[in-house]
Amino acid sequence: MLLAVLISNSEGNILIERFNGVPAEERSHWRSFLVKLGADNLKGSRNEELFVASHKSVYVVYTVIGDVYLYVVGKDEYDELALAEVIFIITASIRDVCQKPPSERLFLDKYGRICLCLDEIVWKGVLENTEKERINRLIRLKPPTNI
Amino acid sequence: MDSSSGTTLMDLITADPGPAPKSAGSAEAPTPPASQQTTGSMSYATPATTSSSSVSGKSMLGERKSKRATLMQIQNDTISAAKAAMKTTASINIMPQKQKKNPVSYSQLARSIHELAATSDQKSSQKQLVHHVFPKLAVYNSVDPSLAPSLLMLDQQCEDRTILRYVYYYLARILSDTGSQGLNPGGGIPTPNWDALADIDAVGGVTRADVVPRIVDQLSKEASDANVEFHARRLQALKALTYAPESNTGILSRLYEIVFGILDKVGDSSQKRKKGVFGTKGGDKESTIQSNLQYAALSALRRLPLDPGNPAFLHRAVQGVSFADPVAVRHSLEILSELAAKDPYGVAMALGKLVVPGGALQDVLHLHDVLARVSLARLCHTITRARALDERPDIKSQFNSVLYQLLLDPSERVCFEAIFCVLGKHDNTERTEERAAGWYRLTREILKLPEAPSLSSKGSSADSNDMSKASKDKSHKTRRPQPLIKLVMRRLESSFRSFSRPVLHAAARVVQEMGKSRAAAYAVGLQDIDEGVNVNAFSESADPVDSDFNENPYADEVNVLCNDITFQLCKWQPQKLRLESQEELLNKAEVQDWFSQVSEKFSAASFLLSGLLILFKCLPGDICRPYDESLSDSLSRSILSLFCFIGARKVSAVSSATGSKDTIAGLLASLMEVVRTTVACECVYVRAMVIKALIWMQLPHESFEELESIIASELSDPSWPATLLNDVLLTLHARFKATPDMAVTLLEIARIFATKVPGKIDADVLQLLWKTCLVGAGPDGKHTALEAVTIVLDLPPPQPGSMLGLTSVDRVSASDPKSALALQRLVQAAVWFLGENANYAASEYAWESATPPGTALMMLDADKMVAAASSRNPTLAGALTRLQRCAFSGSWETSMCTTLGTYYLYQSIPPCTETLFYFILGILTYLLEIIVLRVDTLEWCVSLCSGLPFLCSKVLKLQVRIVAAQALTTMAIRSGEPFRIQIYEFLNALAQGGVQSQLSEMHLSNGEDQGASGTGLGVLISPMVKVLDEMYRAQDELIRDIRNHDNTNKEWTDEELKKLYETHERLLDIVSLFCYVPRAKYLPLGPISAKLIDIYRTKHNISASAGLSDPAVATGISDLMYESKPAPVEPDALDDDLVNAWAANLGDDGLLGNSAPAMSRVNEFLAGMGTEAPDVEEENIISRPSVSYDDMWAKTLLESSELEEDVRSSGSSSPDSIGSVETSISSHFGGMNYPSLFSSRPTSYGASQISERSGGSRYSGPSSFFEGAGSPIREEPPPYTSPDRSFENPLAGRGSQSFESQEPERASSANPQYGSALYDFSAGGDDELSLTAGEELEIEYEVDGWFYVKKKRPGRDGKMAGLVPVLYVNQS
Repeated sequence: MLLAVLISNSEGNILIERFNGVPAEERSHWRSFLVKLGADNLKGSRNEELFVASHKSVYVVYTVIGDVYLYVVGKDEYDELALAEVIFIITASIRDVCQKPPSERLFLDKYGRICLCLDEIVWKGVLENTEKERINRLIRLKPPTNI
Repeated sequence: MDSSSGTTLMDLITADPGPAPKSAGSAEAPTPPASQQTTGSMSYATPATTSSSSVSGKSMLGERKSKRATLMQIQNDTISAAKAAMKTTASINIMPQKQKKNPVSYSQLARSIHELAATSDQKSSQKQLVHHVFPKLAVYNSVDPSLAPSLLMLDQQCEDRTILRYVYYYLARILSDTGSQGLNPGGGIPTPNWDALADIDAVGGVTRADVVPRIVDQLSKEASDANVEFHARRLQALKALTYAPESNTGILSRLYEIVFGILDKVGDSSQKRKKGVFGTKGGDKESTIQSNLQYAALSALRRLPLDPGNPAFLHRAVQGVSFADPVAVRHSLEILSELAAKDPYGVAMALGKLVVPGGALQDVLHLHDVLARVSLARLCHTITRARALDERPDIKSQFNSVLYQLLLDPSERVCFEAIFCVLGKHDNTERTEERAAGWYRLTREILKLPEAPSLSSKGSSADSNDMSKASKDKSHKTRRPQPLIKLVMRRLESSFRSFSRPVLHAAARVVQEMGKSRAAAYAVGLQDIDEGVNVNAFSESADPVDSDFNENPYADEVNVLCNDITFQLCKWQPQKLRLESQEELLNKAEVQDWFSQVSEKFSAASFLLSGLLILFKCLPGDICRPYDESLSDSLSRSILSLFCFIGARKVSAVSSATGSKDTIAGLLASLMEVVRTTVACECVYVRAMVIKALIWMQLPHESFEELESIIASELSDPSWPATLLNDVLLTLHARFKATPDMAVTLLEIARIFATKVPGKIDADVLQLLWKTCLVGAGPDGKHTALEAVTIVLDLPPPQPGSMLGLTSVDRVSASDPKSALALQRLVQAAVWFLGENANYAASEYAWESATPPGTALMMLDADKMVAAASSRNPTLAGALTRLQRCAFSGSWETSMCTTLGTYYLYQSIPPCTETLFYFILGILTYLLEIIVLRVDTLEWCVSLCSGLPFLCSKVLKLQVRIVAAQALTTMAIRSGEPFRIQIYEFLNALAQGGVQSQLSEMHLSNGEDQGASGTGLGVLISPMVKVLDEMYRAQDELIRDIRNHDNTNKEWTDEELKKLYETHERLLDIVSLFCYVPRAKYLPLGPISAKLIDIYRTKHNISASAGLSDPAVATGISDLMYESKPAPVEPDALDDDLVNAWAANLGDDGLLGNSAPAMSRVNEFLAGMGTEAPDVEEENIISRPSVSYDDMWAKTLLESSELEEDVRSSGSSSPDSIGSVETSISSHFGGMNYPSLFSSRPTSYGASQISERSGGSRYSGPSSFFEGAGSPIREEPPPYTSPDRSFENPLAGRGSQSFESQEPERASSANPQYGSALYDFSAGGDDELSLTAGEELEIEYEVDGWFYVKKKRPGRDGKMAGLVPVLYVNQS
């Protein structure tokens, strides 16, 4: 299960969060845990350099792209390597939508499309589409495979 | 909605042109409630305006407005509450509050949608929707159901694909919204509970229940639409439908119907995908559409609940494996692997031909979808280990071969999953046998791959690609059977060389799982696996990869560099390098020799070395700054691991030269070397995983020094979070469960944790580990176990100032108050543990079963006895000494703990070992005093109430019983009601029971007093009971009088008051014979008498005598009486100081032989604090209404009290008549001591050597029985603090409501406490406040070791007030 996808800015303000199967009372713990991880480690790191953390049997992979921090949390089959794949797809789509590593402003300008992308990548806690082009077609309401 | 709450994330989104809807347009909106009309203007209104408008409303409009106001209110509440919650718990904001000119509120967006939906055929409207309205609406994590009609209208009428995509997105959100109190699964900005709002008719009265059927109808109609042109929308409609909650069976069955309907049409396509071709591009139109529909159907099926018994479900899932769409294939494999766990036979049969070479499952091996291959591995594993398929080895072997092929997968994720499967890890429920079999498979299996799989060249990372290519090339070349373990090892080693943290983490996890399987193999007796066997026994010669060491052109260069580095390291300030590294460097002078042998492969190493050298040279060697330390730390770590690495390579090179590399042990050793070097990773989580892997790979018979030193050096790194450390501790625990032989090793490791990072580890976790290890350890191990626990008692008390210095390796780094608290808890845990498990120490070994009769005389000499006891059981003696030291030097919480620990220890020591009695008695007598003086918390009282009676009635030694009885009496006098009545009952029972048992058991007893007999407690107890009797009688009378007066509404006459006052004084006199009570404050008649006595005093100008106010007593008593919860923890600093000072001064007292100085010190102490004592208590006492409060208490207590039952039973039961040889001793003591009841300690019962040992003889001479009122009592007042603590008084609340509201303010404002910061403190959270040493502070209140303080002027961070540790503040 992909428990959470969370995107924040560098100050720890949450821009997007998608929780799946995380009880409401645990969410704020996760939020602060993730934001703290980012604040501790992501400053000054390279774009899309992957970081890893774990808490019991839950894995966290996080990275920075442009001005935004991106965290994915998963368990079971979504271990650190699978999450690395997921984060790779998400960063690729964000790059695609923003056409470069986004500044916070650019990210917010493209907010709607990024939400749609996420919707195509993670569907009810399960990874769905992994190809950039396919995602691109789907968010424009085109069939996944071109006719 | 006011702007402060409605403009969160919105602020940052450009709000430029804004939807700016005209109010006229709202008439056309599909849901045209009048409330919408004014929402725009309302959204800027402040709450005040809103409420005023709602108040003024009279008409329909007014009513609507009030509803709208409710909506605003709820919205504001929800959002601000959520934000507040986030601010405090997460110390983050959703968004900073930037003031924009054009904030867009939710209501504006909602209105825009209604309007634009109506004009969706116009280009401008579409543009607005796509570019402004929908993206901004996405900020809110849910949308309210009233939008649904507009969205559905857009869905039906609009052509624009982007708009439609958003429409499906939002419809899905409405469907998925479970309306759970404003927070829904989607996350994002919290939005209100729409249904709740709809109920109050604030959003047009539309609830989810109203719109969901319409949405479902519309979407299912679209999802079933077979129109080819429509199929893209069909896909999205189906997707949106799956968001409906699973609890809705109606929607669910409809979904199944649609999905199976689609699959009926497209699932059985005659045209299967071409072999190995996924995601056809440029295929014919029909097959493309078909593939798209297949994808949509399977994706939806994946989100539906599994239906294991349904053949149609299975059939469709199996069909999916052959689909052309890669995502569909993945989903079908995921479904199948889940189904296989429930019905392996069915799945295996259904897959039938697909698994054979050339079948669809084989194609998946080439599918570029990592998760699909992972699912395949799981599927194969589930089927191969299924019992149901035992009779079909052919099927199993087919799946097995697929699984082994996955081992060669270029993606680490897939390869590791395959390794997990081989190792027998499936989920976390697998049995030991499966794990053991897994290890056997891994070490024994020879892979005979049918063909070298042509791997897709796209790997997840570059180096893995290289690796897979390498192995591919090789297998192409040689095609010989490969030992499985070798393959796995090589793969792992290459992964450990990766730079990606997730890969390192995962690889370490694989090694950990390997360790688990190996441990399981050992546990089930497979340990005879000869790890020395050559894995290549079956294959040909050894792999030549690592064995060629040629002439080395770089040797000189490396050598020079190495010398240089060593030189630099020596110049480096020694204290800044960790001890380990220095030793390592010194010991490994031969490192240079290694370098001289390194091959060309190490040219990379030489680069690394030169880089390090540059770093070293850049660093200032003579300046001590904290960041330097961390830098040097990581540097030295990397150097060390480099050395290790090179050393390992050298060793492996040598061993491979001699041909022993290819044993399993050799392979493992080289892998473990690589694992160890990974400790150099800067990511602490990777390091944690590596350490866990090392712990799991550790075998009982191996030396664990290396592991120990790795852990020790890791723990000196401050960046380890506490949770991670506790996780490692739990790993130790799990490791012990797997291999109980390792108890000793693991305890040793746990000890490192306890000594290095006591502030970070959870006492509970450590205690759990101790407990299991102690129980599981053999006779020898018990010694180590106890040793490991007692070492904790040696940890020095934390020094707040020590954080300024450098953290050295050997010193405990409990530098901040938080970890100081944690350390204290740890010590307490250790004490508890020792006490509770003392039977291991005492009874299970080393103690002689009985004292030889001839030693009876010797027993008189306690010194010798203790010495003898110590020599017989050094562990226990050590534990006791430590306990004792703890008791004397620790804070009082620790002391209490120690007492109880000692008490348990006493309980568990067999009767024959009473030589230890002296140890214990010394501690007990001392500590009981502390406790009776400090009966502050219920918890401790309860423990004592169960413990002391036991000591009174059961313990053989009279002295203990005397002390215990005294303690009980003192408690009864000084503490509040629940305990007093219990003690009273108990003492009564003891006095009577003792006499009876004396008669009945006289002949059984061999001289030692068993009960409270004439020469024993009986005499002592009766005066105590009398005092209590009198107190109760007087109280009863008082209550009766009060009732009488109340009933007749009579004033109290002076006579009556006088009588009362006299009783009061008389009781005071008696009571102060037993223990010190502050006469001015103490109320033997109960709090209700306070008022009357006060009246009498004022009338007759009687001023309160000495001991003006004793906050310790006042708070102690009031806590017990008016607080059902434990009182806040006292600040430790003061406690420590006072206790220490007290302990230090005790010697003087003893030497002087009289108690006068002590008394004067008491008075000084009281006088000093008395002036500062606030008036709050006075107020409280006065405000108590005249209700028979005590009566009530007594009633409830008499009716039901389990505790009391225990007490009674232990009191009246006849004590065990344990044969004792110590007649002479008991008479000796009995004769000497018991009359000195009211000296707080029995005098010279041979324990003097203990008191000397503990720093001074505190046992002064006996005092006479009746010394009169105000006699000097040797008990000194307890250390106490914060007399301004205002306690909760339920009576005050009941009696005068008006008091309640004013009281807190008065308490805080009337009695400001000032202080100054002792040290710098940097805030660790939002509620904390940074301090600069010397700053003046106003202390507001105290909570759990923290002060809430206010500064005079804001600090650098701009904060004025917040929490700071008590230890950092000097109260003035």
